Amino acid sequence: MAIIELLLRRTARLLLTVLLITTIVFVTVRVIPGDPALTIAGMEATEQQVSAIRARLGTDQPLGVQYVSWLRASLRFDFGTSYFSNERVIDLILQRFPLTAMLALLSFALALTLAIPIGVVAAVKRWTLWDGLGLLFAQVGMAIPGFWLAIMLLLLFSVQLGWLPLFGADTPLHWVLPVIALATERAAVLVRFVRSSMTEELDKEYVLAAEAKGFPVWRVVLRHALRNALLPVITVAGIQFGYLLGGAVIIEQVFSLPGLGRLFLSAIHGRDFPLIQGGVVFIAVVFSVINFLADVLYAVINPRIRVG
Amino acid sequence: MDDLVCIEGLSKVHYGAGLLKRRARTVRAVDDVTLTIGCNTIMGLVGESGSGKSTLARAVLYLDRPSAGSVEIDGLNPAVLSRAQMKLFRQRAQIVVQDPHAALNPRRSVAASVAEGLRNRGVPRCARERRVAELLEMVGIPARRGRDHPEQFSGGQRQRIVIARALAMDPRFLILDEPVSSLDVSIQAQIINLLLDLKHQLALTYLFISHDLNLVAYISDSIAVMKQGRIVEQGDAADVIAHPQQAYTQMLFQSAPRLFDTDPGRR
Amino acid sequence: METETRRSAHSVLRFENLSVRFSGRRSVVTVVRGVDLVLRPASVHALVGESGAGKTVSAKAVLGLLPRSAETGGRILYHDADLLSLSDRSLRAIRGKRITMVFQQPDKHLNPSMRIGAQVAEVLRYHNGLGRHEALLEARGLLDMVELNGREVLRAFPHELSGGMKQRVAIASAIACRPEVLIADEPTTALDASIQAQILALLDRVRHELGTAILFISHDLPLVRGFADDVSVLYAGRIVEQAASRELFECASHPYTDRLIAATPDPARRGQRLAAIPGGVPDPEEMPAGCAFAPRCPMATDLCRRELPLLRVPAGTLQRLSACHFAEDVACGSLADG
Repeated sequence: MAIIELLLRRTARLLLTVLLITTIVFVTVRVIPGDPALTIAGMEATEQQVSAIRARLGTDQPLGVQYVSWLRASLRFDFGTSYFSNERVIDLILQRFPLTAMLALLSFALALTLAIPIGVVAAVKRWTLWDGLGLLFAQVGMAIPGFWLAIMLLLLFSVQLGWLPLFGADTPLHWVLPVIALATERAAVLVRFVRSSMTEELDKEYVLAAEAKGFPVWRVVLRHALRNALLPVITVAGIQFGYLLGGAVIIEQVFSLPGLGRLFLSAIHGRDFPLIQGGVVFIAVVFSVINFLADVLYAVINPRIRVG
Repeated sequence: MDDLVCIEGLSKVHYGAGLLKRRARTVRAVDDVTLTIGCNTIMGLVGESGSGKSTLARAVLYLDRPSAGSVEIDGLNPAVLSRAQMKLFRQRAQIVVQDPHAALNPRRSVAASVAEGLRNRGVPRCARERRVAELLEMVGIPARRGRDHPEQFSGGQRQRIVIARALAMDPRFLILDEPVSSLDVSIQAQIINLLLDLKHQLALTYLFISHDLNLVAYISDSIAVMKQGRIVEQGDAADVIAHPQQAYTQMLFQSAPRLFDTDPGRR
Repeated sequence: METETRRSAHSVLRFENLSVRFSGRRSVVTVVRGVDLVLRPASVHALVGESGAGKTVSAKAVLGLLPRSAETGGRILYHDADLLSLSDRSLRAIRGKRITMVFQQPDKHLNPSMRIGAQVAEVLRYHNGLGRHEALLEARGLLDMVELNGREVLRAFPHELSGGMKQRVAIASAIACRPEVLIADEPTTALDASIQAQILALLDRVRHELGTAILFISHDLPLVRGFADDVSVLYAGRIVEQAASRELFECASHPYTDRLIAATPDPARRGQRLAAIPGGVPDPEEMPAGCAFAPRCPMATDLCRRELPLLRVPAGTLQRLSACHFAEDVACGSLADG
């Protein structure tokens, strides 16, 4: 009962978010200076040529008309065809998406496998050397920009030591550096969050009660506190995954990975409106869906919402 | 004896925020309550947690607008009052709640907290300072400590200050919602004595809400018993305790352990 | 001290000069200052006092649940073992099994994301080595024993139960291994009066059926009077009076006990003023040199302010202890109405 209601609420929120994003994207792209028709036509084109291109693109229509047709098309994931390659935008995106998704997923998995143990140990051993090391990792990890770390890793492991391949995504080894570069910052953020969530949980009375039952510390931490401590982490992790998608765009650039990032960067360069719009909407929808899933997962795991 | 407080058919209904079934979650937190409290008397309100005692208190003071029924305190019925008269109503009826930590602004001196009500009433500054000092002394806080902040006082002292703040409004009616529940027995007795003294000095009328049945039985002139939003029994305190008409009342008072074996109702 | 040695011959738990202090960055605060106490088998010993008296700290010391900043002194003897000097490992084998604890707020002391059955069964699985199925079966029996519907409650989560039911669950896990000692820290304070009585009745049954001794921590004198066999009254970290419950409530032999009784509202005294105790508990960092109660005591003399009164058997009595220079002069209730 409660779970159905929650699903309905979250779905409504998801749809509203997507509608809002599509609108914002539409407006923003129109506000950016520069006429794509001019860019496509080139410097020496005549006025007629430019008008013809405008008519083909539909940019000569009134904004309202453009908006309605844009919304209608968006619903079908039909973002039109790229100005330059003349391929369907959604096809272009779907070609590149698997690589970006893979990169994000692997990084997410690495970030969590680092963050949960480090955060838990830091919380359990609060104010000791272990805690200090955990916090140092978090501090440094957050302070270092991902792209810089990526370049440094490349220079060290690929150029200097030659242990790992330089560019591309052909072998599993190619993935090592991009995943590390992308995961570090997320792991750092999550360490702090896991630590504070765990600390809060360890101070609760039921933990004391579990100790009073004679259970050893590790049992109290893992069987009692951890589950409750990870509940709020789910929501945050969902948002962090969104950041990963954004971060992947830059990391792909550094490692020359043919993912969504490079596709979108070239689209922005060329004022390829349909591709930009489609790309932003696509990323936003993915982001929203992930947060939707995180919320649902939270509800399923949390007995206080599950039953009732 | 005249009645100061007349409550008639008072109800407070909470509507759930359900998306699918709106009706199902409707809760009648206060259900058709009729009570009168005599001038300068103490009515004890008892009932288990969740029976609606605090909701009733807020509805009586129009802090939450009742869903139905009427309230009249000292001749003022807030449902038909003009704004100016409503201000008077807000002065005449005050509430003191359980947690003296939360009730005072930690960033203001206690004198400032007490003076706030006076300022709202338009009492000029010089008179205000004198009155704050008077009020603090009246509740047993040395006036010179007015400059201190809440965290410099103990729980009992803070509750005294909260009482002084309520008194600043020149109330005639006080709702005391578990006013001593968070205090130690020895401190609790100090506050109870203070409340009894103030009642005599200022001719105050109290609605005293507590889960401590011994305390209610000790302090009240009349007792009302609340269960699931309804008043199931009310009457003279000694009568209610000695000859409860409802099994529920009997169960309540029998379950309270006693320090002495004598039974007051039968003496 | 004769009475004490006689009693100690059969005790399950004995505090010997227990002290607890907390060292902060700048200061050391002593909250328990030399407490002696004997818990007899299958008896209820109440530890009574106001906040800051050291009740809960003493209780937590028994199970080694104090924070790291706490330093303990003296001994807590469980049979012949000093709980304060046991290794973590040996202590863990005792706590939760031989000595268990029930806390004040049942809402907060159960794991919110674990089913009740799993929580009760966990104790049995860990301490008695039962398998999952057997443990759940026995947990169900325990829940039935504390007058819950075991079959239903087993699968419930804590938030689906009322406060009283949760406290019953806590008691069920506390008695799972048939402990010798149960420490009940204000177990009914958060509950309604009628539920309070039921929980006390349940604890009484546990004591009689399982022979579990109960260390009952409370600030509520009427409750203690009806439930405890022995009472220790704590004030500012020291026991000021220790006696059989019946004797103590008949006639106190320490002014603090006497005034505390007088300050307790009771329907029997309607219309009289409560005899409030003036002032407040002394700051543990600025403890007076002599008797800690002297600043609030109507009987206090220079002797009281100068010299710490030791716990002794007042003349004319046999089985009670009072830490007052003038214990013999504390006449029953004489102060109450003064």
